[in-house]
Amino acid sequence: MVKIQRIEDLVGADNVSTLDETLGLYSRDIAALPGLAFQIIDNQFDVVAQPQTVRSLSNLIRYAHEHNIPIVPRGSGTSGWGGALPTRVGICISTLHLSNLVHIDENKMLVTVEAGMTWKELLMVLEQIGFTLPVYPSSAAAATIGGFVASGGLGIGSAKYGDIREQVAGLEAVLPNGMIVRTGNFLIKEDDNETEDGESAGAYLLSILDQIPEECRPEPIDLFLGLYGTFGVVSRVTLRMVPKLILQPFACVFDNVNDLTSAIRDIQDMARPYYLRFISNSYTIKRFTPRSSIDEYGKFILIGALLDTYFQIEEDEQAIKDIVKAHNGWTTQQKRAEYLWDERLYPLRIKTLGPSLVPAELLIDVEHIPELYENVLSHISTDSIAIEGTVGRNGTTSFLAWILDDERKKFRYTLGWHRSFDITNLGIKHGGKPYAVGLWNVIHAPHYYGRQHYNALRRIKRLLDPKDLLNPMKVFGGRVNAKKESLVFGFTSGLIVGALVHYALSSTLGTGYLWSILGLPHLGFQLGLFVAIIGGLVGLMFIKFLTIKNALRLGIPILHVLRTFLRK
Amino acid sequence: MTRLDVIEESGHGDDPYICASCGNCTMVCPTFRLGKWESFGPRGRLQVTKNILEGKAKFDEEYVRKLFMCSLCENCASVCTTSLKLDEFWREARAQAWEMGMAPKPAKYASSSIMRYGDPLAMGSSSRLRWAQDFEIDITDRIEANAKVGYILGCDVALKPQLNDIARSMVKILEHAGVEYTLLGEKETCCGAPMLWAGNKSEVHLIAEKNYLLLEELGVEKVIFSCPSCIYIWHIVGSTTPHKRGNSPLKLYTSSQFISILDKNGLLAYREQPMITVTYHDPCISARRLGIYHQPRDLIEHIPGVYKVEMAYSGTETRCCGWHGLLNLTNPLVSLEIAEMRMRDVSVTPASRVISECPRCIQALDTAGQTMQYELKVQDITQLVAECLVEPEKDGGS
Repeated sequence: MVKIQRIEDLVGADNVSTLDETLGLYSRDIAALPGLAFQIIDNQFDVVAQPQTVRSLSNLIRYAHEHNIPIVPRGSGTSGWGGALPTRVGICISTLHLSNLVHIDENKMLVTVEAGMTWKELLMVLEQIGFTLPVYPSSAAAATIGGFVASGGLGIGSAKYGDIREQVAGLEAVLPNGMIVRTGNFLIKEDDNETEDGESAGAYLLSILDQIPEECRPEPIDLFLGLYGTFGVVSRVTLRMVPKLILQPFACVFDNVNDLTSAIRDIQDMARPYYLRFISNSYTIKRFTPRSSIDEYGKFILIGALLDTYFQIEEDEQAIKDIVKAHNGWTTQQKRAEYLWDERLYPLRIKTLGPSLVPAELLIDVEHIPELYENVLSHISTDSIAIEGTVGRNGTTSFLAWILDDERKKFRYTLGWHRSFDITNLGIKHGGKPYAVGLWNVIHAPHYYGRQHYNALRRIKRLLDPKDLLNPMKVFGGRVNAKKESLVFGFTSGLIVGALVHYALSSTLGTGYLWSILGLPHLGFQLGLFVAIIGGLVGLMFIKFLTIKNALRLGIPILHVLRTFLRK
Repeated sequence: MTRLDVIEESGHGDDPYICASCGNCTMVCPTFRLGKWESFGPRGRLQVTKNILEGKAKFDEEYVRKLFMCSLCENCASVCTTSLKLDEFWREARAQAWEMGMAPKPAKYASSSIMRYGDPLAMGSSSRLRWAQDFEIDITDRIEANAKVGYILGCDVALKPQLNDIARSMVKILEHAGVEYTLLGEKETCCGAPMLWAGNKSEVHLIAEKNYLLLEELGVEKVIFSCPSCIYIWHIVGSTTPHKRGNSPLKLYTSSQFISILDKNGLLAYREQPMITVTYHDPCISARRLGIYHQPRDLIEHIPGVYKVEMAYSGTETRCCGWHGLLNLTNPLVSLEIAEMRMRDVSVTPASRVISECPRCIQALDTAGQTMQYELKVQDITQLVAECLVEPEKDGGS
């Protein structure tokens, strides 16, 4: 039971809301979910709190821990993997107002910020002192530092510097019991008065980690990177920064996916670009018109940027031109390249064509782009899909398929959701893995994190958060909070199955005849009713104890079959 | 399902579904910065509109209250990832509230005052020339004179004593440059902007026509406005009025736009100034809608002895002053707090003056300066230029 007064005492009355309108707004992310999804997740939280200091965040989590209240941390809600959705009601903690810049050390090239600061705000500050970020998300204008760090992924700069997780030097997080822990090379002013808590929490965390076999024991910092706050709510982060050298955007156009892929591989080998994003012909045919962008309509475009010294850029630019030419492509005018670079922060422009989008995103080897591309297009009509990707380091890339749909056509939209999961499965067949786990990809979590590492993480989760209160169901799954309709469905299905089983058995064995000989003509009916009710109860229990993983394993194929059947 | 006829008929019914929920708009929204909760920001309001359309929420007083807590600064529209014309959307949502009789009282009052007195301040036409009393330049011959250039002061500049100097400064500049111009004097009326902001879409054309017809009769080809919103209203209302002002031969200029033309043609002579450091606050409509942000800066840099420093969030990324979209009438405290937030951006620069070119911005920053006890001169670009001009030679002087 959530006591609002107590939460208000902890974080301030102005920073707590139980208004229906507010609860609804904080209980969603950018994905427009079909109504069916709310059978396995909750409609909204009980309360939303916005702590203004790390200490009040810690106090709130401590309170929730003591009273067994589930907690879900939320940044700006700019992700679509369900990492910030309510699964067992409870408290939504918005970190958006923890947004101070804490410390900058230009010599060490490190900056510490609170988790709720947006990437764009930080970029503006750093650029004024001659630095920039090695990696930031394409949703930088609204995404928070804590949100991206806690979910992981590729962004602007990943072609040179890799995943966001590699850019975190250290961080501070609040553990499920409310302790504030500091890990890695967390940079803070010497007069910071919360060090003591950090030290004791650090010892506590190490004592937990000591229970894990050494060969699969993660570093403390790894518990808070890309794990959606399931081990602790990230409160402050120390990020690496890099000198803001000369930035030179470029863009090149190709006729086919094979040339595009070869060019990506060669450019990565020869030029070390800062940023590389490809958009496919299925994307350009929708976003551009033949008149306005005659060279780009229906083509494959590679958009990139170099971040280097003047001389190195000169050299790299020539290398890129040669590579593009060798792969039958051509480079656009500089002005156009700059426009496309500026568009990097608006990746959702394609949504105007939906109006709804169902995303599917994978991490694959660059080499596999052509075959996956062809495969996806053979499954989903080109008219309703747009594909793009952000290239990372070491030959990996994200492969993002936007499926265009219309959420107002509720039935069709619900049935169509399986396509996102189908694309993920296709990608896995091609050696890839989901781009992120969050809630909707929990089935693939062992594959994503590596089975041994995942098992170790599960064990640590049980030790640190035995009641699964911190962002429940995310990453590790768990029992769904089944709704009334689902329970009725389970009972009815069980009832029907039970009745059918009884009918089949009695027909096969001829028990009806036996009962009439014995002078018990109603026994058959009574037995049938009994079996059906037992079936109904089994169905009810099945739904009641259904886990999110099983719900998805069962539900997605059913949607697939239904959609295929209805289309025919 | 709830039908929102006005919104749907305006072609914006799909907008809540097209919204990508990226949150770009929320992060730049001054009301969200102040209100802290999603429901105050554009993303939240769009989601609530979607809920209303789907019958999950009501078009109630609370929704209307938040609609009118928006300053219509258009920052949300400028960063929208799906290029939604959110400025139009909010206006249409207000029009929906107006149709349903739910517009706030101050908005209704402003609108009825314009219909009755020709201005939102209920002062009437007889007050429109008070600014020229005891003015060193006699403008009698300029009233309704035939000329190629017309000057529209706007209600704020003409009727509010603290802004009258803007009109006097513009007249000084025009006289200095030898421009033949005309004024509508007591016949000038409101452009209709406050009516549109109030949601009174159906009557705005009745008032918006008046100035245009007068100027046309006087043979005017170029019109200077002291208020950028007047220009904007001429553009958006004009395209649907009988006279199709959107395609009219009249050329419309903001103060800085016109003065910079005079400056480039060498018609303005300046006195050397004793090291004045200024910063420029871009009015939302000028910068984002009319694309005017180079001209005032060029002008400032051209005045000898005046130095310009940029503050954070300038040009098209400018932050709202809080006085726009009737916010100062419907929610004066919110309006003032937004103005104070903007004043904080000013206060971290070394500038001793903040210059702008919108009467509402001037009032907002001036009031914020007073409430924050931050001593800083707030001036319109017209005032700065007029102050720096070489004094005219007096007849018979030795």
